[in-house]
Amino acid sequence: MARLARPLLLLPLLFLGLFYVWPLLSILALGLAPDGTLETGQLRQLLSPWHLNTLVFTVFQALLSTVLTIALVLPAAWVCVRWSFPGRSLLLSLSTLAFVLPTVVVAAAFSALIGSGGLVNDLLRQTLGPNAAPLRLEGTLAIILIAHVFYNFAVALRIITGFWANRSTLQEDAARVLGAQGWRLWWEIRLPLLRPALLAAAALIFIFTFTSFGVIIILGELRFSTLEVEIYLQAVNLFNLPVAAGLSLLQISFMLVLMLFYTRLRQRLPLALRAAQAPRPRGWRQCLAVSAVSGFMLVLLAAPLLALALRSLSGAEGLTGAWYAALSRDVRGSVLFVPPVQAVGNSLFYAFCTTAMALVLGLLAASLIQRRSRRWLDPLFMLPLATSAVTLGFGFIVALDEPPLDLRASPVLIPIAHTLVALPFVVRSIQPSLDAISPSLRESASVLGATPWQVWRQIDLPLVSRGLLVGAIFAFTISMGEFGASLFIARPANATIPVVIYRLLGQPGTMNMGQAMAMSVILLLTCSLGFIVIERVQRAGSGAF
Amino acid sequence: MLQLRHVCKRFGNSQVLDDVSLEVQAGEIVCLLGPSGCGKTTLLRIIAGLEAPDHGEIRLQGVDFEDVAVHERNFGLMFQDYALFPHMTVAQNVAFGLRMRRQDSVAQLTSDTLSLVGMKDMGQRDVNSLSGGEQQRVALARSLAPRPSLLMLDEPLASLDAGLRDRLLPELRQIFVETGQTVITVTHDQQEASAIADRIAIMNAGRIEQYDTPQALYARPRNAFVAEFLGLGSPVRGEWLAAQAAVTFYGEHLLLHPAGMRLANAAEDSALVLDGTLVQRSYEGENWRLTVRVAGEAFRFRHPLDACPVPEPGTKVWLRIERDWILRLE
Repeated sequence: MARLARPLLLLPLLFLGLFYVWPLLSILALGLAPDGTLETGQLRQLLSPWHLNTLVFTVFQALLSTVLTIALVLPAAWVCVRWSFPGRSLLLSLSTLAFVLPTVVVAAAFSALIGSGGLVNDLLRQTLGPNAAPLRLEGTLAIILIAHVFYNFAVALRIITGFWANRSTLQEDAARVLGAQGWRLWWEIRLPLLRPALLAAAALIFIFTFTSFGVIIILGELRFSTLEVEIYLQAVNLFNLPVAAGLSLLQISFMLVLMLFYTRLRQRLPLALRAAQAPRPRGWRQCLAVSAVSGFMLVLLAAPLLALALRSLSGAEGLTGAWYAALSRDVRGSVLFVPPVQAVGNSLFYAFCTTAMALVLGLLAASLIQRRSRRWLDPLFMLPLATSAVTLGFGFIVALDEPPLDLRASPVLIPIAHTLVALPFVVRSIQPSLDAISPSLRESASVLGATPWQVWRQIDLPLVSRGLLVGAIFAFTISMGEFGASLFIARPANATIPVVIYRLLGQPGTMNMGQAMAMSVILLLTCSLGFIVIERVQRAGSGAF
Repeated sequence: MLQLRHVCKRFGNSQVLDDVSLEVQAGEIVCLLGPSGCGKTTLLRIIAGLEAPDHGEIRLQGVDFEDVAVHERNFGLMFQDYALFPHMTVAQNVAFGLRMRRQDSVAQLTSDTLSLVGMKDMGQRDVNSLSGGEQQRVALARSLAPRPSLLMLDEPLASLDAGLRDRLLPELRQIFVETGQTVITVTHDQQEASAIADRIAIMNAGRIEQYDTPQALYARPRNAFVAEFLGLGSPVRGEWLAAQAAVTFYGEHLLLHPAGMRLANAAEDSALVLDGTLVQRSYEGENWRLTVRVAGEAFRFRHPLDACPVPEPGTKVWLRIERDWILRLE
């Protein structure tokens, strides 16, 4: 295989060059020199008050979301590390599930819970009478912030609990013997010791919320514009491609700096170890703290999802399956062009294509990284992580619209975009199992008479199968839920589930709302299933070899 | 059967193998012995085909093996970490080489080989559940099963504890002798080497210092490295000995072999007797182990219990050296 494999191994590089580097370069060209000559007027336009406001708001909401999330996670992390209590692992899993949910599902879930026609408003009307002042949260900063906290809770929780569980309590004990207690213990010992983890978590949350797109465009109802939303609006609604390109450049440079910063911080964190057995809470104060925190987590993480499920099943006359039934009919006709059920078919088809492509490319990329340079190939394949989905989608319509690669109208673009988004996750899933194969296993096999192809087939493949499975599920669920890039490149006829949910949420009427909820539940179940399998496989894998 | 001629290998700036030539007869058990980093494992990997030599040739029964791929050589190689395939059972591990070479009656050969190494009924076991000694046997069985023309073992016993190693060594040699297997094994432990090998190649810094039977190595070390590595002591210079004994000796490096040393009661004509001080003595059951210092040089040797009595350390003694055991080194 060695001779045959060499060109094959270059396939992921070709893919990355064609569908990542080239689109970004096209954006660069369009942003700096829209007419073929270098123009600075273009860049000056970005400094207009409107765009500056966009940038300021982007940074502002990201900062606010970050601070809010960290502040809320700290007590939760403390309780989860300090005590073991019934439901702890469920809460941790729930928070991680929240993180992997597609952004449209989260947006739909919060509409179902605290939107103007949501569950909370129904309850208010029922208890306080039909004239009660309803909550009007849609289009406010508050609902955006709540959704961001929901989303990023797991990020901070994982990093902080991982760091805390690894630390010995020696310093804390020493401080206590020296007389520190209560808030002084927090202020002078715990928080300073936690600084690296806090910084890393904050940086990551800032990155995620800086590029937040679905939450802001759906829940913000276009009253707020972040860089990400502005790129989309300029490109799709106003068709002002050069301005969109300029904004993308701004976005890309911010992201590169942020990712560099985060990578630095991350390197200082120890690897997470298995947490030591924590004691049960004792005394009413500890029990109160545990119940308060777990109650809060349960409400924050479970209530929106339950509201979503409930809403998808409730109509004017109580429980109904009408919204699900309506998915197969094109009730709106002209709005969607296709009945929603076809979007489910589209999404499944694209997800299978994405899984196949991402697995092949991911396996080749992981082998390439292992054989060649780890120093620069590894970060190269992680690059798509540092690029927002909207920028990727925008790059596609800018770069791939003319010969020799005119793929604008081609449905192939969607799985390609999804593969690009999924590739870093697939590589990261396969890499550890591939690294764990000792070279002497392969050498033994070839001394025993196995040809290079047989070595790969008999040794490498079975030993990475677990990583491949995890990668496959990642690719599948990422593809099912991908929103930003799909919104750019999906034509009405090949719209995916998230795109259709977005369109339905934007339409008035209970039928549209109900259908959006029903589709969101389908997506929620698909992703939860994938998530459960991944957790199982990874947990089972830790002790095997 | 196997001939290496002028094999050289560099890794970056370090010359790992420097003009190595070696010949192995069919059915012979050869051991490459040397300190870590002397190139012995690299030599093994070059013979197996896992590394290519920079210069030199490897011939098997007169045929040049340079262009024969690893998997076509029909060799066996047992790794130090055993490299058992974790996703296969014991029997599947042993059968692997047989399947790859498309041999007939895989099941029969597998169970025969497992019996040979004393693992008869353990074929269905998961290799991850085996003890270190069991893993070693499975690895051995896996290398032996396809009847390789040449079997190579890289530190086969290094990861086992001392007691188990002492039990397995004679067993290992017996299996090789019974099956008439040609073997090259690698170790840094000279007891292991002399227990298992017909001939030992002592390696140092990429060169073979001496290639001989264990007895010949002990009796006639060729140079200072071999003498010191085998624990025979450091050589002295001819002038030094001449000054001590009032007899003229020629030669840059002379080894006063411990086998020729005793304490003496009085000066004798037949042997050389030097004035020294007993520095250390320890009792070893059948003999004493003594250290005697003579004019700045220390000599360690075994002194039989029934020879002349051993005084307290610090006492002046006579050190008697047989003339036949004064060896001229290169």
